Amino acid sequence: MNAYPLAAISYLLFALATAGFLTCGNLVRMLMFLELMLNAGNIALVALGPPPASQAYALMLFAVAAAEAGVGLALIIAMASAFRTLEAENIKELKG
Amino acid sequence: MTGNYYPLLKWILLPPLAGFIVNGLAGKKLLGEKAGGLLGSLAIFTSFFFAVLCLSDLLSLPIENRLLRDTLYTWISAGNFGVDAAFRFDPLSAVMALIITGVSLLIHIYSLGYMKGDAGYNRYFAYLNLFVFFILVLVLADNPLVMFVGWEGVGLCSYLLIGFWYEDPEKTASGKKAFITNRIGDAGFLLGLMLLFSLLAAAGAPAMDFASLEKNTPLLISSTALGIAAPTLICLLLFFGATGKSAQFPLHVWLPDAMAGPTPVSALIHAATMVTAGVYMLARLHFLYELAPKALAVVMLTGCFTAFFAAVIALLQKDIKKVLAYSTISQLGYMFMAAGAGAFSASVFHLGTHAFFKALLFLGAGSVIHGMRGEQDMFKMGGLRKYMPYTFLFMAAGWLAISGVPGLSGFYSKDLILEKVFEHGGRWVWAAGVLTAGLTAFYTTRLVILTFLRQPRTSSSHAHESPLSMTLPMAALAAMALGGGFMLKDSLLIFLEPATEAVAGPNPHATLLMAISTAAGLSGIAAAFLLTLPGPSAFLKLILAPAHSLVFNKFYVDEIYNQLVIRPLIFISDKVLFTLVDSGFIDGVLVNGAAKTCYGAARALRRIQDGRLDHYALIFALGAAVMLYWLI
Repeated sequence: MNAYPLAAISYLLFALATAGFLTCGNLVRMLMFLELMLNAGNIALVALGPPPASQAYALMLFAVAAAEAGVGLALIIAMASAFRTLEAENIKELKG
Repeated sequence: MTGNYYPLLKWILLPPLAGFIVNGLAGKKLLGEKAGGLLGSLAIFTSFFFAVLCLSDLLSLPIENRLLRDTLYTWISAGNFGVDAAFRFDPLSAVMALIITGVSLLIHIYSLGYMKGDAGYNRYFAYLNLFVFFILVLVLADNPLVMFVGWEGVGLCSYLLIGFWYEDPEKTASGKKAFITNRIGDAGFLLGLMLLFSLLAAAGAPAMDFASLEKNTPLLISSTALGIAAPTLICLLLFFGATGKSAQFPLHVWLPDAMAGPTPVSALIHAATMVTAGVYMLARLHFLYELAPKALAVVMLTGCFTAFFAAVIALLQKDIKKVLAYSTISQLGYMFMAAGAGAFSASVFHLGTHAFFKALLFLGAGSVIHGMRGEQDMFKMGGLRKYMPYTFLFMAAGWLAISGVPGLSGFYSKDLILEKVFEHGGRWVWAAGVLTAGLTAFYTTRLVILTFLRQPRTSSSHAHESPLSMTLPMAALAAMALGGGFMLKDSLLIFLEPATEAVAGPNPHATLLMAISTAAGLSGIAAAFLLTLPGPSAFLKLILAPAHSLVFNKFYVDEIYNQLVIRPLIFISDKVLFTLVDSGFIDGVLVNGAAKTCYGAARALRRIQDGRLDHYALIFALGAAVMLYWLI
């Protein structure tokens, strides 16, 4: 099986996800784009890694992604209740 | 190592140190006034006793081997350079140690009465003991470094005792002046020592005890430093140290101010012992000076000038102690004159006789001040002979001795110096010396007349004779001032210079020279009696008014120093060093500058951290992209 088309899909997905992450202001969306980036990395792993180990790693990364999404959503809920907004540009407490 | 090991030597040093520690730490609480004073005097007596013991052992040795040594421990050991904490006892040290412990003992006893009731009684005796310890270290030292320890130590004690009554800011200022002036001289001394050591080490002879130095210094005769022959430069630097300690021109200014201390201190430190340290140093290093005839000429001319200059100032002083202070400077000039003429033992002889009669004069002055309840202005005294007969009697002994009346101690030593100066220094120096002898007689006579003779100028009926503890030491000193010269004139010189004295034949002009200097002294006395009468003194004041103010103000040396040295120094310290360097550069640029740079940088950089998540993300993405580009 030729790995290059798969790798190309993974790069494209990663680039699009990054662009989306940088352009949208909503925290939930940003989290979703982050998940997409992670999945792009996962595809690249499967496409380019040595066959059995990389697939095992990909499976493990699903679990990591699920856990990370859980933590991320929990943080977002906490911030939403604290700031009463989900727009990133309105949350500027960490300002020098 | 030459010389006989002699462990008793340290026992000369230890009692004063012990006295200092006990009196200094526990005196006031444990001992109280009486016991503290007695303890201080007893310490000096023990020291004197051991000095006499050492002397008798020294005399039992054959003449060519008269040297006792005592090494305590190795003080410095660095490569091939080593210095021991070692002491020596040879004829020169013996004479000095005996003069010091003897005169100190008398002055300690005198102080028992003089300082009675003073709040700092125990502190006074502690300092005095410490001083005796340090001066003994100075004269017993077996190498120039240990000598330097004593040299600095006596300077410290001098400072402590001048500023003894520290509540009076003027007196503490005098103490500081003495200390700082001495430090200037000490810098020269230290430079001279360093030069000596480095050149000797380069010549392959780094041993530092005096015996080795005497053997090795001829190695230096052909070497030069800064384009001057090395022995000359070393001797001049060391002599500069001596001018500081022994109050020679141009560093004489501190000694008159040192009279702010208690009078026994003036007698002991600023007349009899410490100020003669410079003379002692020259005599100790005579082998070095004999290699440097030019340096000796400088020593002689400085001494001659100082002797004359200080005698002139002493003519018109009002304060009884100031007269004696300038007289001391003048007499020290005599000693340097003798040393410069190569007659080191003559200068030590004069050192001894001067210690007797000048200490006596100071103690007498102290007794007068004591009787007059602190009055020091001679024009407010007069006629005290009636009220203080013993003091007058002893003071008269000192007066006649210093004036060079034949048969008394000052006559022998001064005459010997003038004779040597005539042989080695030429007529002009000799003539200045004779003139100074006349002036010396004049101002001392004036002092005695104004204080004791004629009619009282103020009501001095409250004046009273001093207690026995004060008059007895004066009696002992008076005996030495009267008879010491006659007793010691031959034996001391032979003791100091067993080899050379026999060779030098009598000077053919000796009788004539003696007659001239005696005549100068006697005419000085006569002139003083004549010119202090109201008529002539008013006349003199009229015709010599400008000269009078010049002399009375001590030739404005202090004012010149103030303008030339102190004010520029203060200006530089204030405007350049303080404003520019310290608060400008160090505080402004380095300390505050560092803080300001951080602050400014933080102000500039805080804009980056604007709290916007998307901006952070963008920067992060760009950074990651750049890094990726870099790696691939």
